This record gives sequence, structure tokens and C-alpha cells, in this order.
Amino acid sequence: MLKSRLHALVAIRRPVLIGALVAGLLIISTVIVLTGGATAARPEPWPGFTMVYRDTATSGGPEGATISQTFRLTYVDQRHFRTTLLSHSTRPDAVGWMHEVSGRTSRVNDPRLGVVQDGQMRPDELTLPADWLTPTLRPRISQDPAASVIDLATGLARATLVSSSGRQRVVEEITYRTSDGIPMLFVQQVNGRETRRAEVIELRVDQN
Amino acid sequence: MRNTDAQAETAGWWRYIRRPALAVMVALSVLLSVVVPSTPAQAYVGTPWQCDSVPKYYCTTVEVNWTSTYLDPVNRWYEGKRQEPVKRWQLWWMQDWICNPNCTWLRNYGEQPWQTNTSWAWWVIGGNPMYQNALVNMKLRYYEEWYDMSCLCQRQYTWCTPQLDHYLWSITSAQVGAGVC
Repeated sequence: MLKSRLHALVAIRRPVLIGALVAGLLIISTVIVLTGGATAARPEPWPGFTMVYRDTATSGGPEGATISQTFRLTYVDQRHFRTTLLSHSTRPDAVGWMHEVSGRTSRVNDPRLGVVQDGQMRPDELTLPADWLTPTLRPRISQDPAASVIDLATGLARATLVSSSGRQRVVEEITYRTSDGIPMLFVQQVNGRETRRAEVIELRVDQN
Repeated sequence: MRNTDAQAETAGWWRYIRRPALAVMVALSVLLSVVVPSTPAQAYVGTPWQCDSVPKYYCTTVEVNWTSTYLDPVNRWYEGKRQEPVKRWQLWWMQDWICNPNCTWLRNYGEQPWQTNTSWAWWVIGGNPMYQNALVNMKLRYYEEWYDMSCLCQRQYTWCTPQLDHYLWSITSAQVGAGVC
């Protein structure tokens, strides 16, 4: 009788053990997928698009000069995009300046100088078209716990973050598309004075 | 004695005083004109600072000891610091160009070590005298890392300053291009 009970226990336990093993593997693989992992393919949050934007910045140095540049950004994915300078407020001879990222290759061509940069990035390195253009569904500023986010009900949302840098009160505001996170406007103020404005003038999203 | 006679007599006396005074003045002028040009006109100046708008991350300038014939030495200053989510920063490249009038690449200083300071710190690359019409340009690079809740994934990116140009022949500077690395 004892033998038969033991047999019964083994017969029950084996399927339970197998089931637990499969469930464990499923849980582990789900965790790995969700956390991305160091070598997993990075998600591409943005569709391809062509954007024209104007970036006006006031240098924080003693001279405090303001420079305004207009760019065309042709974006395919995080490893393939090209930025071309369309206008420059103080260096019109620089118009045509171009930076192209293709795979791991990064190349800059300055019409005044020729090829300024032509090199390879590390295999795991990703660069941004600009510091305010981070490919993500929600801009980093909007994810800061101290940020306030407002839905503008026009397919746009605006995130505002106030911080301090030394004696300066810095306000950073980013307006972005809620559908894909592509920023449309970035404004920075220091002690109430606007010091940076990057504004999208034209955006054409690729239809896939 | 009539006035005209007195004036004539006074003018005569003055002539005798004026000549030696003039002689001394001429001699001094000759001496100065010989001495002064032998010391070249010099100006130790810096090109306008190029910083980000706060500034939050970077400032650069190029110091020039400018004579009438050459630039020597040239100190190339860059200052920087990191602030979250930036984890480290570096001078990614710096170049010397000679523009007479077309620009010819002269030298590249290459990638410098990563830095992690959170307070301002500066570095300088000096030496390598150049003739007039020289251009120094540079780019600084920043590595940032943060957790993106929208994808539950870790974001790791590098972004750069615009191309920071310093035109030494006119002691001017400008930011050119976008912040791509």
C-alpha cells in the first residue's frame, strides 16, 4: 500500500515539477524581454520623418551672443539620420554644413573646411540628432518626478521642469506629440530670460 | 622804440631759444621712432567664450598672444562639468586649421579622457604656434543614461556640443551645426 502511495505521489509530482519549470522559464524570459538587456535590440519609438527646425541659443559666456540656426533633419532610425544646416545668423558661409550618421559611421562635412569628422562609433553607442531630440515615446523631462505635464488636447502635451544651477533658476519646457513622443518645441529660461528655443517649423512623418 | 621794432627784437630772441628746443624735440622723435618699432605690437586676447546657454555643461575659448606676424603661443581652453543624467563628458576632438584664404587642416588633438566632475573644471592644450588666419574648432561629448518608463528600458546616449569655432585672425568665434556626435 505504501508502495502504491509512493508511486501515486511520483506520478503527481512529475507533471507538477515540469509545469513549475516551464512557468519559471516563462517568467524569466518575460523579465529579460521587459528589461531590455544590454545586448537586446533597442526599441525604435519614432517613425521615420523629415523635420525642419530652428534652434536659437544665447551663449552663457560673458559675451552672451545669440546665434540662430535652421536645420533639416532626415530621420530613419536611431542609427541613420542626416542633419543639414539651412541658415546661420552670423556665419552664412557655413550653410550646407552636414552631419550624417549611418550605422556606426559619423561624418561631418563643413563647406568652409571640407570633411571635419569621419569616424566610427563604438558598437553599443547611440548618438542623438540634438540634446533635446531624444528618441523616446515620452521625453525625459516629462518623466522627471518634479516635472508638471499638461495635455494640450491638440495631440500635444507639454512638460515643464524647474531646477537650479548655481544661483540660476532654470525652467525647461518641452512640447511633444502624444502619439509618438516627437518633440515640437523646446524652450529654456534662466532667471526669467529665454536662453534657448528649438522650434519645429515643418514635420513630415513617413507613412509606413 | 616802435612796436614793430620791439616785436622784431622779441622775435629775434625767441629764434635763439626756439632753435635748440626744436633740435631737442626732433632728436627725441627720432629716438622714439627707432626704439618703439623694435618692440613688436602685442596683444594677449581671447576669442569670445562659447558656452551652452545656462551654462550647464561647457565653455570654450582660445587665448592668443598676437603679434603683427604670428600667433604664439595659442592656449586652447575648454571647461566642463556633468549634471544628471549625464554621467561623463570629454573633449571629443579639437583641430587646428590654417585659412589663407582657403582652410587647410593642420592637426588633430584627438579624443581626450572622460571626466566625471560635477563642479566646473578646465583643461588647456597649449603650444603649437601658428601663423595668422588660424582657426581652432572643437566638439565636446556627453554620455547620459536614464531609465525610460515608456519602454521600461535603459536609455544610453551620447550627444555633443555644436562645432565650436574660434577664428583667431579676427578674434571672433561662433557655434556652427547641430549637437550630433
